[in-house]
Amino acid sequence: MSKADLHKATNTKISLRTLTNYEDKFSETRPRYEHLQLLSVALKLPVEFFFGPDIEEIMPDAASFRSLSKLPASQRDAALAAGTFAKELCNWIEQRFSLPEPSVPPLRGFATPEAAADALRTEWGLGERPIKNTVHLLEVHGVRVFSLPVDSRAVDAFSLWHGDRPFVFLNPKKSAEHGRFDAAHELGHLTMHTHTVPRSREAELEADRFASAFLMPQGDVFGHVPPSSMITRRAIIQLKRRWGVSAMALVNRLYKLKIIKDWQYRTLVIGLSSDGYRSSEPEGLVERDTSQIFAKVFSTLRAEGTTRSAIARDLAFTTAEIDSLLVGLVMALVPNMESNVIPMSPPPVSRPTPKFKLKAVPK
Amino acid sequence: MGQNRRGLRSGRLRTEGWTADDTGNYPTLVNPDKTLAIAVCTGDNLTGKYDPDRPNDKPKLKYTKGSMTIEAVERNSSTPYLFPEMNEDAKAKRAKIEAAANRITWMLMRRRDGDALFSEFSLPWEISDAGQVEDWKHRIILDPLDVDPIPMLSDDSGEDPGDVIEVPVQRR
Repeated sequence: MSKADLHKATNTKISLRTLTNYEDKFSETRPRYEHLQLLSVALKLPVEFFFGPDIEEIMPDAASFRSLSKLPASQRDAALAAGTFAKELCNWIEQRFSLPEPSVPPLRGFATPEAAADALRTEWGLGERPIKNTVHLLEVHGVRVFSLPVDSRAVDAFSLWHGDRPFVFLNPKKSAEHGRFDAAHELGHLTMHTHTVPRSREAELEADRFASAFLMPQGDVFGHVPPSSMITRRAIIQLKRRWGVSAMALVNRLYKLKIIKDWQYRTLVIGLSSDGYRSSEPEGLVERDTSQIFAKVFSTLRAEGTTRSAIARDLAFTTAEIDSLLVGLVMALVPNMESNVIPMSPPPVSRPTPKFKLKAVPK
Repeated sequence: MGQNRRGLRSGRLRTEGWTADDTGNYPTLVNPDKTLAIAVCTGDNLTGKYDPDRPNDKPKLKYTKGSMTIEAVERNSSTPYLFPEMNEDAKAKRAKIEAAANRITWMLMRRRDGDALFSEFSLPWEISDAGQVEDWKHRIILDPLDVDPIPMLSDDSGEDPGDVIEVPVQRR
């Protein structure tokens, strides 16, 4: 959100000059309380937010994005803001629960992304079996997985390291297969491009190749595909279920492994596109890969009588914000027993990026 | 047959360049230079067994085979016999020249006895006009395998592949 947007969002009750002063970290100007209330409504943040400790924001170059070229800065910032809040929520959970420690090894220096994917499968003892739930796999290896707020449509997924803690964010609006591929793609960034900034097209392609090989290991694919003459569109749709991938991802893998030939690849891609497989995933997985950590944490908390709104209060978030980080990862969010304790803020879908820093005002 | 050939393909043979071949509707797996072929078939109750006291016992095919098998076995015994004692260079050269015309066809013959799968990897050398193997040049007896009551290579439909992962979460 730009300053001009914010100015409009407060019904022009706060002047641009004043906003500039508020944002300037060297300025001595402190926001008036009625301005804080206006900002709270405009930004969909509880007033308490402005009194909280400084949040360490995630900077764009710390995160890896897919579809970077397509991504407007505002959407990127919204995604990064979600990243910042996820970190806070994660800290809250980790103060109360011990979760798996990170075990994502750096896999640089491999000749190909496929070799890196094989090495990681060996390291994690996965053999050549399909992966049942990508989120569980990431979680058990210490990666914290969250959802992106639903309005970040243009962002497929992103990942980042916060210290030695890897985070992956998945877009719940994408198909289940797409989400699994994104999870593996981000895992590729985390291992192959550790702590560096993978912004190049090349790095994206590497992560795609990693994901493809990681989800569809060569030996298992060879063992389960019929002779190439029998690989029809119908067969692809049946086969894709084994690896929980999209029809297109499977066709690409078969082509890459030279199981199907050029003409066959083209025919399948054209046919699947006309059936709508490029933009969506007909006959797809019924369920998305869900989080085991959140299921366990929230069921324990619920049994202890801690509601999400209590957590929200602790963190000066809204319940809706917490929910937007979890949607798609938890089977069904339990209806909140308490009313929203922060009446100032209507439940937002996601929070715009707070681009300015406000100093705490003594009460 | 289809399932067994698929089983072979799932192993390393395929990654080493072996491919399915259906020349004349005779399904085999062939090596990259097409000098060796493997056919899969079912044998009788002497399959996969060797009794030193009865060295002349030989397994037979459970079902007699057709003209393509007869042709393949006759080719086995009439082909200058290429085998590993030749040095690699000569072997490769010769393989190229004689390629498909002199293909050697081995048989992976197996039989199921309850929960055990007996099998052998054998080179058929003589075959009757009726399509029954009368003699073998080599027999490589494989260890019997324990198999589940379900077919060894089941169809994947309805199968839910992948392992269940338990993520440890402890209340502090």
